[in-house]
Amino acid sequence: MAKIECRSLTKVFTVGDDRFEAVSDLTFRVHNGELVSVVGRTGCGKSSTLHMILGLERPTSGSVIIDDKEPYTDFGYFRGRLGAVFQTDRLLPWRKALDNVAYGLEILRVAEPDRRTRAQHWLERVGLGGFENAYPHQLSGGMRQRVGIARAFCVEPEVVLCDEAFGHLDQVTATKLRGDFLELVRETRKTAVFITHDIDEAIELGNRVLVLGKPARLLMDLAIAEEVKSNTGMREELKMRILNSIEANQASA
Amino acid sequence: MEPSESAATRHRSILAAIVSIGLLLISWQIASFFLPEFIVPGLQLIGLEFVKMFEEGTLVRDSLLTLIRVMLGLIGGFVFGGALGLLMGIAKKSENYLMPLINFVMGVPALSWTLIVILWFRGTETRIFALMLAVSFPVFAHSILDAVKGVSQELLEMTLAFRPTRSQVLRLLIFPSIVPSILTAWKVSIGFAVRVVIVAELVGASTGVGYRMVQQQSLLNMSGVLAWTLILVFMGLALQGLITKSEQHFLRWRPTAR
Repeated sequence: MAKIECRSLTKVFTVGDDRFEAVSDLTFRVHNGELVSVVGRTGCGKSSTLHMILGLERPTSGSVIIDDKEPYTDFGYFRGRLGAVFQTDRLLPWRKALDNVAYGLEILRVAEPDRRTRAQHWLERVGLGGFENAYPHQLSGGMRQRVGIARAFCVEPEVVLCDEAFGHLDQVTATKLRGDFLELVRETRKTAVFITHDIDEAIELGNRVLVLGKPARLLMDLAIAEEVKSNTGMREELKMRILNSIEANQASA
Repeated sequence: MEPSESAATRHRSILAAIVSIGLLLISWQIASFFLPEFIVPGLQLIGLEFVKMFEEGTLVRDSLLTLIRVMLGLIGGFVFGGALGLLMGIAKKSENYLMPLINFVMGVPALSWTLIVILWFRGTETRIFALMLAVSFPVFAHSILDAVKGVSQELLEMTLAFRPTRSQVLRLLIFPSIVPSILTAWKVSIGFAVRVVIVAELVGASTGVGYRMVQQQSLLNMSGVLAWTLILVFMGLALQGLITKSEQHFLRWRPTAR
């Protein structure tokens, strides 16, 4: 069954007399428990797509459907059902690590002893036990992003959306964090959408990769077998195919 | 290592302050030997004045009265101006209607307000409260509007992903975000308010520090004028110090605030 469905999703921005089409007639489905990577060049409307899935932007035409509901129009239905990890950590600087993790639970009005226990559990789960009382500025970039991940998982959402979450980190930190994150998503059996401009990352994280052209429309929809991830040759070949399709799209534009 | 280093810098700056104020006092005292008492009275005369004021009971009574007037006026201005700022920040269209009015009120000089409130209102306290409100609320409205506008769009999106109610957005995101601006607005307003309240007391009151100053001036008692002036300076500094202390408490999450 489709968990997330984008039907002819289109987003047009108008600045003065200029019309700028960020997302163009994008249609795809994400099934329950699937991990789908969405890859495309920077500025190809990936973030707009994510914003529409999160219900923060209204589609110009077409729609996003999750559980037969639209995230923008049925805003309240998605209370606690979506978890988002962003490009930057987006921690509240005045909250200690534990209170940042508990933020979503506070919005869901989970009462105090329970809230603290659950936040503590997730903070430990991302490897930050002992940092409960640290303010964000006292943590490294990677640790902050871990707090952000714990915050998203803490409300136990059905869907996890992830926007270039490792793009800001150095390679060593990013690789480690990506691995841990993937493990977490698999263990908790979430339905997940990863937005990224990094083809390697897209292949590593997803069991499906959607390749977007510019403006965001579907160029390829590839299932990724497990052996592709572990076989360097096959991975490189797939990577080349994706690159070629993005470049061909760019040339025709 | 760093804390001791910053402590050392702090000690050095305190020492510098003592030296420069000390030099001023010494030069003043030397000048007092050569100039008449109603121009530059010696420090001992100013000191005696404090003793006299204390014995009369005016020192505590009038200082406290002025302090209460300042604080009540500022609290009024903060509540009213803050509410306006918040409203404009949240209901964007209201800014177009309210801002011209606020700017108009802000353009009226404090001295004009003083005369206006004397004609409009009867009781001394009502007049002073109205004056303090009129001069302080536009400042609060402006700074709180700017602060609300400055709330991070990224943090708002992150918050909205959890689907909060409107009041949760206010309580959990907007209020904590604007605390630094609120404190800064208070700091700016306190210095301003102390100056304005004195003008009001000079013109339209029979109590308070401003009234006492006029009284001393009409007696050509320079030491008295200076003694009351010092009280005002200390009052302003003490209030600002209080804000700085609360900044250290409220903004302890900031890497720079210590």
